[in-house]
Amino acid sequence: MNFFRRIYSFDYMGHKRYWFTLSAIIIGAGLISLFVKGGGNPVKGLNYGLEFKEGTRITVAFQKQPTLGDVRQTVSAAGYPDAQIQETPNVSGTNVKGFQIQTTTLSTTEQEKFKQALNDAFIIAKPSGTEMYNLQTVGATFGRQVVSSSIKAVAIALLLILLYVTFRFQWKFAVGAIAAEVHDLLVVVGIYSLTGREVTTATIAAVLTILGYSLYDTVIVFDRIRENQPKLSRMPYGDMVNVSLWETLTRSINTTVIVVLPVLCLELFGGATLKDFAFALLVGIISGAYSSIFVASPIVTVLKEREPQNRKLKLAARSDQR
Amino acid sequence: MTGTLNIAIWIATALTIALALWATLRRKNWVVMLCMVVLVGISLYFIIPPSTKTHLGLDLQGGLEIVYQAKTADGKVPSSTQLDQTISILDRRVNGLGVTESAIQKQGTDQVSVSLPGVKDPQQALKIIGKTAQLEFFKDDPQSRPVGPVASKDAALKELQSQGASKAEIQQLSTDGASAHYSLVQSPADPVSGQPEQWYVYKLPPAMTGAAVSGARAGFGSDGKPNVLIDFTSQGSKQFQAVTRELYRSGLLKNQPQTFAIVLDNVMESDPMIDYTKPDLRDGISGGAEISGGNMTLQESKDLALVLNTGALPVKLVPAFQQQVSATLGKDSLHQGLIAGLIGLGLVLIYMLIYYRFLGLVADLALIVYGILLWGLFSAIPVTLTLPGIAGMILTIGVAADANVVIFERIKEEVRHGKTVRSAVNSGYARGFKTILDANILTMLTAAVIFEFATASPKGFAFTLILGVLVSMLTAVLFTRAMLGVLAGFAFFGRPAFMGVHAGQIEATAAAEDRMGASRRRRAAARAQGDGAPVAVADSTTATAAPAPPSGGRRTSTSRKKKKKRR
Repeated sequence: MNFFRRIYSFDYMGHKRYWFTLSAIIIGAGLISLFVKGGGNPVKGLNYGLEFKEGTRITVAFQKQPTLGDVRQTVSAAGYPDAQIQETPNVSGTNVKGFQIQTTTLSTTEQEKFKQALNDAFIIAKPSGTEMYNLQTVGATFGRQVVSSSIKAVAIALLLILLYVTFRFQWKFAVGAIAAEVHDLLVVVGIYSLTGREVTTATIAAVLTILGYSLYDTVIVFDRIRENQPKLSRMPYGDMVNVSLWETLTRSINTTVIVVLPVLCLELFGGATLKDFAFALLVGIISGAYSSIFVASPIVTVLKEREPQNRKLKLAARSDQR
Repeated sequence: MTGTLNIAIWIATALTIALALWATLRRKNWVVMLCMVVLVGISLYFIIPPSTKTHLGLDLQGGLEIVYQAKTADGKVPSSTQLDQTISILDRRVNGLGVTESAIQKQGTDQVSVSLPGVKDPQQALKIIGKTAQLEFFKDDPQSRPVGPVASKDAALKELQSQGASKAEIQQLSTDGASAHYSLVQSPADPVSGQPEQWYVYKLPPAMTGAAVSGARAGFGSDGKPNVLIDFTSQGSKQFQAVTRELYRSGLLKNQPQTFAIVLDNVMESDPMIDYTKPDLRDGISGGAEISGGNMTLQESKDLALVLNTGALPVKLVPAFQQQVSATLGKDSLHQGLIAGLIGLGLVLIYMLIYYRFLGLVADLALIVYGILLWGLFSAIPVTLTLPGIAGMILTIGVAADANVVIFERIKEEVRHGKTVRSAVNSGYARGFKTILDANILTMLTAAVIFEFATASPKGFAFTLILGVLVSMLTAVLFTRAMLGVLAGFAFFGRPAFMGVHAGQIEATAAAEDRMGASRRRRAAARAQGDGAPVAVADSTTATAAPAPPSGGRRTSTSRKKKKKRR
């Protein structure tokens, strides 16, 4: 209980160095992982899903689960000795064992021949009349388009946020908000690199949403700072930000819990695709809640404390304490 | 009839929302409640029965999705007219397949996405949809056919090069199957007759093209095997007659039967022979042609007829992305998504109830209404529900609940500051709303950017998010406000404990406010003396914000003293 009382009176702004250090460590670890895994090129430090490469991926369940060696032999005999074959415990979400086979891009005719070869060898499972056979093919240009359109979306979103927050608050707040956004982006990317999880288009959608959510959280804190500023104009800026944080803390905690609950359910009970989505959202929401308090607000404080009247207030408070 | 009805319902919905807004401004709480009941009713009309009225994406019901990259015959970016033509031809082909909920859309300047949820045989669909269906008729004489038959593509190209074709042309022929002067044609192996695959090079232009064809239908040949009968336009009929007459005559001259090739997308479909010994063919064949590809199945003949009937695409389609989801996987994903969503919603409802007590109950009711309205909106538009869409919906549960959290925290704050519950509700909404508006505008801004710039799956997600935010403003702001306004008429409502605020908290905060005032006065006095130092800054800040009795030596004693005085 004591902990809960303390968080409502903790001097968050006085400990900014710790928060900045913590964020730097997490982001640093992610960046190092990106560089190491990418062999010097951070862009390659992520485990990209099929959408970003080219090739055909088949997920299939057979009537009787053959051994990996048998499948490899059949796939080889069908003319694809370089195919990557993996056993999967659940054919995309269902609890049926099967295989995931990834080959070069197959044309329609090749796909048909390949499926025939698999069916001839092992018989594709057909529970309730539908085949357990999923296929995804991506051509060379598609992945590049997904990436470039996503980067464009992020850049434009950040620019608009910058403009909106500058217009509604002040450019110093916009800097804090953008810093928090970039922080969250780097945290998610870093964690994806560290854990080696596959990056899919769903991940990108989740990351874009995180931007929106994190900002939402930040704006609510900023809104309170803006409201408190005239009321507590005699207070050093950092203290006023502290007050604003304490006042919005219950909301921050409750909202985070409320958003995390359903996303956690997705992570626990959702199928494979939903799980992917939920993981990115989970990391992003927690990072977003953190960054509003520990990144965005301290940065605004640092910038604002440089203003002459705020500097004077701070100095005065310091001499008073002595 | 249903169209008019739908328009009427949309207008009624818009009017109801407008009325609700007006009633909110005028504080006519009962009217707002009534509007909400009407909206819920309209939503239910759109939802029930959900099994037929909810549109599931192919990731939830299984099916096929393909994104084609369109190129003109010479490898350039197609014009928008060509792309539109392509889409209408694809549309006809897909309809011919009997897929009900298909969607064919332009993507960017040179892509077409085709989604066929619930398609039974994706392989068959793939074969039909993407076919260029370039039909060509070639005469099989040395002039029209400089190369062939040879056993491989390389052999065919080599032979053509030895006849003096340019290297560039060979290269293009190898990759595209056609060049300025030639067309590379394959005759696939026939397992029944044991004939291996053969390759030919024909000289362009062909004797006739698909333009001469008016229609095609599947049938059976004289040998009882499935075939496709081609009907010609009147112009095409004349052309065909001329070609066959010529072949008859040269057959007679050479004393050897002549053939012509029917080629579809560089594959020889049929190679009919004109029998020069039959005098009734002297004037050529006037009726139609027949494609009898040896051992065509009935299904294949029907597919071929469909492709020929819908005509040739003005562009070449190369699959850029293809996703084929089995119905089992789709069903399971939907099931898991729904379960996760329901459990998530349940947990949120419980959390709100525990934390905000009576206010939580109001928020919970609003959340349930939110769920119904959003679902109704999805069924009405209709939005095709996809997995990312479900994730977006589940996320918006959080956003919708948050609007209430923001407002309720404000109300609690006001109550702690000693306001009556009724006036706290009013000022809580007034102040909370500004915050929510700012935050929601920003969320929608990002969602709109995603919607505009991102590709397929993030798009569905963004759209859900936008709708969710809009609906949540309606339920979490208008509806809860009206509900609280109505409830404020009852006596029990005045007790702060109903919203989880305890008497002790009110006192503590009021006491802190007191000291705030005191310190302000002290500071003002100090300022008046010309000494600008804020005397007790650290003291006052801690006290203002701590709703619970503050801990720590000096401050605790002060606040105790104050409390005693008040008692």
